[in-house]
This record gives sequence, C-alpha cells and structure tokens, in this order.
Amino acid sequence: MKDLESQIAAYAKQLDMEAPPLGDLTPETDGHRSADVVDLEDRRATPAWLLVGAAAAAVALVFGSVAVFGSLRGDDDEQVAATTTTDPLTSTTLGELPTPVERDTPVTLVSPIPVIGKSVYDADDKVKYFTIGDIAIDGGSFHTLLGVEGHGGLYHAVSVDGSEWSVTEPPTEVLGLDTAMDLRATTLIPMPDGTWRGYFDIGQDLGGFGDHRYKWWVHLGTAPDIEGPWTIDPQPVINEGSGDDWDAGWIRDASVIKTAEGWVMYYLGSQLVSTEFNGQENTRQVGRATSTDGVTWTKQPAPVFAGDRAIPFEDGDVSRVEVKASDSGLIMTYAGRTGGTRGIAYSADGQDWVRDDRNPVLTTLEVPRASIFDTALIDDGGLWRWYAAGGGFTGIAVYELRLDL
Amino acid sequence: MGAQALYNKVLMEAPTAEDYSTFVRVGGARLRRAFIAAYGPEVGAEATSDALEYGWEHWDRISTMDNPTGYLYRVGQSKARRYRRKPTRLPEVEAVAAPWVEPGLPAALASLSDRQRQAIILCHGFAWTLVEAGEVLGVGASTVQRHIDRGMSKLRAGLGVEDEGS
Repeated sequence: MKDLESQIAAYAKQLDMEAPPLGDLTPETDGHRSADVVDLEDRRATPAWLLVGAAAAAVALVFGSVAVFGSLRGDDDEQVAATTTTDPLTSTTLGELPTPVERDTPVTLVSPIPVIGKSVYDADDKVKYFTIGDIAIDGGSFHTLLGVEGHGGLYHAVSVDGSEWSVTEPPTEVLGLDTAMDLRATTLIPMPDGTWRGYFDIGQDLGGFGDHRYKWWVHLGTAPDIEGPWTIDPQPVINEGSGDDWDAGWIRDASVIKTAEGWVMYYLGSQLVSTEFNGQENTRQVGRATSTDGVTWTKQPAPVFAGDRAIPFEDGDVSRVEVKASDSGLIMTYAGRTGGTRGIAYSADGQDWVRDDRNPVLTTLEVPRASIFDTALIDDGGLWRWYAAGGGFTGIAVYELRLDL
Repeated sequence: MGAQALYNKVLMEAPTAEDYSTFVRVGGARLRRAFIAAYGPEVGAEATSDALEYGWEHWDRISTMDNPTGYLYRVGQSKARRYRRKPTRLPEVEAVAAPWVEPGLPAALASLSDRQRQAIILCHGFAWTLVEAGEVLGVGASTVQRHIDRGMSKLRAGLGVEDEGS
C-alpha cells in the first residue's frame, strides 16, 4: 500500500476531476442581482474586455452571461426589483456593507468609510501596519494612540464626535524604549491631575524556526499630556508566571479599570512563548489582577476566562482581549484562536463570565475588510462605540461600529 | 490623509473587469479547490460559483482588500450552508484509476472537521504550501499545520495506518 499522503493526493485528483472546471462555474443570471449592482454593470459596460485574452475564456463565461442579463435588464425593471427582495444574499447595495447572510448580531457598521486611515512606510517604501489603541474620553474629545509595527512611536488621534478623526503628525515622542518594538496602548487613563497613564503592550520578535516567536510584556507609561511625550517604564508593570503557571509564556492586552476600591487589570496570558498569530498549540486565557495604586499588582492564581473547544471561533483559545466597565457590570470583547472574529462576554464581578448567545458578534461580514485586527470599545454615555482595525489597501483602516447591548 | 481622502483614493483606483478576470484565473481556481476540499465536488462547485458571482458584484470593494480570495472564501462558506449535507459525503474511490487507495479514505476524510479535511486535501492532495492554504482559509500557516497534524492522526487511527517510523 502506498503511503497515506500519496493516497490523499490520488483521491484529491479524483475530486478535482469530478468537479466542474472553473469555466463552468458561471453565476446564475436570472434574478440574482440587485438593481444597484446592475447599475454598476452599466458603468462597467465594456463588452470588449470579454473578448480579450484566450486565457480569460473561462472567466468570459461568467461575465458574458452577466452582460446578457444586463442587456435584458432594461426591459424588465419590475422583475429585477421583485427578485432583489427575495434573496437576502444579494440585496446589498453599492457602498453598503456586504451582508452575505443575515446574522443575529448586536453589531452594526456605522459607515463603510473608514474613520481612520493611516499610511506609514518604511525605508523600502513598504507599508507598515498600525494598530489602534484604547480610546479614552477627556475634555469632551475622544483620544487614542496609534502604534506602528516595529516603529516604537505613537500617533495621537483625536475626535470630537467619535466619527471624524484627525491624526497628529509627527508621532509623539516615546521615551524609555531603546529599540524599535511593537507598541500598543491597551489602556489609556486621564488622571485627575491632568496627566495621562497608559498600559502598553510591548512585543518583540524572538525569531525562531518556522513561525516567528513573539513575546509580549505589559509596561506602564506616563505622559504630561495625551500628546506626550510618553515615558515608558523599562520594567514590566506585571510579570508573567513561571514554571507550569498558565501565564508563564507572556502577558499582554492589559485592560485596567480604576474603581473606587482600587485598580483591576484583566490581561491575556499565554502558557508558551509562541507566535502571537494563529496556530500554536497554545492556550491563552484571561487573568485578573488587583492593585491599590495601579503600579504594584497582585495576580489571581487562576484565570477567569478560557476559550471553549466546542465553540468553533474560539477553538479552545482566547486572544485580543479588552474589558470595559459599564453601569451594569463588565463587558469583555475577545477573539478566539484565529484572532479575527470577536465574541463578547459579560460579568457582574469579573470572576464569572457569560458569553453572549449571539457570538461571534463581529466578523468580516460586519467590516468591509478581509481581516480584523485590533478593536477598541468605549462607553459613550450609554452608547457603545466599537472601532475595528481591518486589513486594508494602505495598511489598516479603522471602522466605526455600534454595539447595541 | 483623512478618511474621506482615503476613500476617494479608493474610488479613483477603481478596479476594472480585467482585474477581475485576472483574479478569477488565480483566485477562482484556488477557491474552487478550497471548496472541493471542504465540501466535495458538488457542493464545492456550487460554493465556488456563488463566491465568484458575489465577487463580481462587489468587486469594487473586494478588490481593495488585502486578501480577496480569503474574503470570497468566507462568502462561499456562508452560501454553502444552503447546499450542505451533514455529515459531509465524499465520492467513493475510483478503484480502477487508483486501486491502491484505501476504499475507506473518503469516509475517513469526511469524518474530519472541515478545517482538518481542507488542510489535508489542499496541502497533501493539491500540494499547496501551508501559507497558501492559510491565506485562503484565513488562518496562519501554523494553524494549517496543526489541522493537518490532528487530521492525519485521526486518519491513521481510522484507517489503521501506522505513523511513520513506528
């Protein structure tokens, strides 16, 4: 008997042969396109391109049939209108969010136009990705800090209404970091004396075979003003565990909440030093720590939230965690093993968490980008604004969402 | 650049139909195999067709994405729900063409999770790299590897095939 891999290869070839070739996979053309989409077809009415290139023959089958439908459309607008209401999968209009399926989610996209777009290029003119940090309200304005991969700098972004943002140039000065590292402000707190306190993820690529191996630390930063300069304490404000501890690998994503009784931190811990990105057989969980001053922390020995193997998007893992306080308790946004899709969970005491039964509430069906990176949630007087950084054409673009709880 | 200017930039760089034809030649072929790996030839073909149609209708927007193939994979995945049979059924092995293929292989593959089956068929069957598979499936290369490892262990156990070196 041949080895299993060879058998799989032979069987895959059979599957490939049994499926219709690409050229036969033409879209249905009778009543599956919305009127707006047909208008787009009119603007694209360039039949000549259908004839260009023998290599495009298979594709021409697709577009050829579409073009035929477009030519017939004008005689039967009523038919088009009727059919657009019957198929929710294709009733999307131009400029709106694509919604391939109707989902029960409390999340809606405010606008398909990103509210923050930032392009930063390295010396080789290659785009560098930025990440949105925590959002804080101070002086009637919304503030965040944008971190740039491997940059070590922070761009201050400000908005008076949460929708129109401006990014301050040049980036604010950051003191205390001696190398270019990934830097993200996971918590920003305006202090009573007018200064700012921030808790920052600092990531470093440790190299290693195969996937790059990242390690993360949480550092405390202070600044006289949100625009800096920010001074980052060179020592982590909270340490990872040791030995067999559940958080012995690294700690990141610190959400710090100041309460009347003191300070509480929720953080993501990893048992292994491994890639931040998908896939390591790794267990990341959410821990809780308390402090009287926000500087010296005492960790609870056991995590308070873990991924569930039975929930597909979690796949037994948690990542990209943020916890916010509201009048009625705590809300956590989190991703699962693959890092993009988001779920939410609620807790009254920070110890016991209950998942929203609509999870995952945020996917790329809600954000018009192929991927979702960091998100930032803020309670704007009872209105939950949620910002999602999606992978885009010039780095990352940030979209504004609403979370209707 | 402000958000509006950024959006205008996208509009000015509106993709052409020729862009889409180029995409389909490569991305469409990848989608087809990804869906075949997930759902078998019949449902996989339907999902491919739906995803490509959706891609054409929304190409202005999808073309600006970093990974349009990955996005359309998600679209096809959603649409495939209306065609899917559970559990997944795969065709029998053509004994004449490949008499040395274990007849129980289709059932064993069908018993895997979608992701495990896809990762194995794409990488072992169609010789994709881990990165290529990960791009379409929207996961990292190491995740693909993990699905392969777990899936192959299940396959070996189910088919009574011993691990290499054992």
